[in-house]
Amino acid sequence: MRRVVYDPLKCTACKTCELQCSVAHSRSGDLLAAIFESPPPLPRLSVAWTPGVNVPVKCAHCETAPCLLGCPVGAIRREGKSDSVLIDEDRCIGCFSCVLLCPYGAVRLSFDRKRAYKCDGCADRISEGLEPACSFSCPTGALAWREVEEVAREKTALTAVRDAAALARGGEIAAGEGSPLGTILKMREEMARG
Amino acid sequence: MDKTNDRTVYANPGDIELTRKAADDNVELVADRLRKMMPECGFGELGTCCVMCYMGPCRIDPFGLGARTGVCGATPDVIVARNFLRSATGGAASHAGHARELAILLLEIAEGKAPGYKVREEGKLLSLAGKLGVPVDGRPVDAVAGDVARKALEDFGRQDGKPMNWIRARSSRIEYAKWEKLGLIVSNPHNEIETAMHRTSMGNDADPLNLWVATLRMGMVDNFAGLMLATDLSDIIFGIPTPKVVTANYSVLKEGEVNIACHGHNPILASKVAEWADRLEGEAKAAGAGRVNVVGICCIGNELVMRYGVPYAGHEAQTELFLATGAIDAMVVDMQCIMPSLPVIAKCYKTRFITTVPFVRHPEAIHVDFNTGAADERAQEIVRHGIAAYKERKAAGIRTRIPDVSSKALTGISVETLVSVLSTVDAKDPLKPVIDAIAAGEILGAVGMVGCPNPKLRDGAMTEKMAEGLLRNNVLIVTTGCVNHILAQGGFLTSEATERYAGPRLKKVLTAIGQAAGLGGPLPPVLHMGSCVDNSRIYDLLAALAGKLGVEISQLPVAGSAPEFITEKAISIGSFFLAAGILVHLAPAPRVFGSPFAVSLLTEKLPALNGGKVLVAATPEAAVSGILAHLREKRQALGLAQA
Ligand code: SF4
Ligand code: SF4
Ligand code: SF4
Ligand code: SF4
Repeated sequence: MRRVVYDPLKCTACKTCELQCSVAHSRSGDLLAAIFESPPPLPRLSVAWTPGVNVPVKCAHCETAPCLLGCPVGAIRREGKSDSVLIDEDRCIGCFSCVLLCPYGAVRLSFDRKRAYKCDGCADRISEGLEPACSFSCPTGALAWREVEEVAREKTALTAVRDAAALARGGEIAAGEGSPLGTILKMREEMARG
Repeated sequence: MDKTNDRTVYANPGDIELTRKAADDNVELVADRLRKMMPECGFGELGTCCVMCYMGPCRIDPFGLGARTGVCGATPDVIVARNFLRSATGGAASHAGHARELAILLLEIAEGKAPGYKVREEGKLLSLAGKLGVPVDGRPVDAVAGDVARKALEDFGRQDGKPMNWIRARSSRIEYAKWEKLGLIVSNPHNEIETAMHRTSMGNDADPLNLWVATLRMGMVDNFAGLMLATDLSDIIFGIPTPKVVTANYSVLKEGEVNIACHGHNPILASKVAEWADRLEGEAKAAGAGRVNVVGICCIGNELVMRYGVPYAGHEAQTELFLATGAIDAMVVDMQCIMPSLPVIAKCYKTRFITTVPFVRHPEAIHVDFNTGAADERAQEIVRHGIAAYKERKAAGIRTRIPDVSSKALTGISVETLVSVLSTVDAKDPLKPVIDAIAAGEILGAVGMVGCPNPKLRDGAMTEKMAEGLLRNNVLIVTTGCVNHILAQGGFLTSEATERYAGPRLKKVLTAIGQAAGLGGPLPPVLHMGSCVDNSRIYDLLAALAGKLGVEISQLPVAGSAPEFITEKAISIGSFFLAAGILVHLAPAPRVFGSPFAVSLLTEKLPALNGGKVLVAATPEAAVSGILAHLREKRQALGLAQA
């Protein structure tokens, strides 16, 4: 199962992903023409920011999607082939339950503010054999089109490396101190710090 | 690296062969790096990325949801105009630097301080002196040369606000008056460059129109203080180009010879290297090589080929591939368009990479401090580097591969040459046959195809396909810069190209001229007018044609095209052609689309004001049809027959 995954530590907030998402959702599909379109195409993700980290926020296409489950008129559905959660803007009644239910804040209000819209997982691009525009365009790899299982495996491996390092540091501390309890507490502290 | 990479280049199997070799050798090429860069930053493409101060960097959301101005309040119109002016300034600074070096050299020659050089073209010196108001009668050549050089240097130092000597001496009255009315007459290139940098720094000029006028002025600096001054002085010092049939493409490299590739722009260094290559043949032989084979890449290729007939190697985008042949012993460069990747690749093949200009250096390069006072000594040193490398490389057994591809090309069509060729048809009025042919619609119009090879468009053979399309429609092409290399390698600079590509009407004219001039075939349909600075020759030619017809240049059925441009120099040259009222086709798109003001100025308001107009078209078909429509419009306005 592939998803666009993000790594906030790599994001420089250049916003290429936002720009290219807009282009991918324009009528012309070309930047130089898209900027003259009216209404302008909307980006479906946004680079959010908190001191020290940039987070490209977009729909995670959750397996048990709260937005989908909560939509009272069934305007949200899952598209089989691309595994994307899609909002049918024609059926959307603008109650914005999805906005309230989405844990990511990934649903937004369209220009006329009467409809909800969000990342469609680039279902069109995927059906053409392309990867989503945002991950494809991200120059730093902060967004990447990856197998989720593989990401999990990598994370597991990283955890092992991190904990091994912490244990080693804990060992150093133990060599200098007497009380076993103190050592264990220090090691826990180190491990939590990572 | 992706070894299945088969980026093809129109009619040049050598590029494909060497791209494969580079992949085998694990050498990364410009195309590989470009692929990793894609897609490039859209804010940059639109011109709405500003790094002029440290409240930024700022970028404007073109779709209107996010920031609409920079932190300082600069609108996208202001940001785009400032950025564009800065790139025109970068280009004009490059050309002005090139020209100033030549002015200083001419003064040194006059004062006897540059023993390796002399005035070769007295006739051109005297006629230029006449135009500049320098007395010539009965004076020694060096005294006149000194005064001409001082006139040039006076332009660079002028603080009295009076028009540049070169503009006064070298523009026609009708164009001068037009520029004066538009406020485009400049006084001192250095002042314009200073003011442009000043006004575009944070918190100065915030009037997009005022900034765009400054860009047109920068175009004037580029043409008169850069291109034209450089061409005039190069001709005086190195000779006026004359027609030469030469070999182009990879096969100019020779197995068993010391291959030295000159790359860069100013003939000051390369002409000396070429001279000493012959004189040190004995040393090369002693090292076991046949001789020293100097070849010219990029604009140096143009400068050397049109004056000395030096083998015409290839364009800027091929520099890495030339190194990948493994057959180059030394690559010596001066300035501009030298990719920083080169010295690194050179190292892989034990090629000595030699820089010669204080502000163009690289940690992996050998630096030879070239100066005009000791030109001969330094040139010898450089050639000896090549000979020493030859021995080393033989001993190391570097694998070489020189693709067996070559083409012939007729080069060196200066205005003087063209006039002399044409006077074989009509001695009294040489330009008449061309004007008659244009009037009768046999030549629909002329297009100057200039500039660089851009890897973004090389795949699609943008330049070759455009040339084909224009020729079929009876449009004559004149070229400068690396576009020449592309077209030479594509076989467009030959009589056969006239047979193969030219439309029937154009073919008839070129055949008649070719026969009258005794060329043994038609005149080629693409005329090689030189290097990038030689765009001034194209301007001179247009000025002469317009003068004969008694119209403005902007009324002629002509256009300029930089079909694959890369550099800021192309921006400044284009700015001049806009100032002169000529349609300029650009691909890739210039960085102006983020500004509605700029788009409407360049496509609607400027054409109404002085005829200048920007055409953006990234496919050969769109470019050709846009240009043809423009030529037809101009013909109609002049009441000429519609071909
Ligand atoms: S393109 Fe990548 S680095 Fe740039 S803002 Fe988006 S996620 Fe961040
Ligand atoms: S909109 Fe929110 S809740 Fe719905 S699938 Fe996307 S991330 Fe999950
Ligand atoms: S997956 Fe497609 S629609 Fe979703 S944020 Fe990325 S580019 Fe936009
Ligand atoms: S000059 Fe203005 S637009 Fe440019 S970086 Fe500074 S604040 Fe931003």
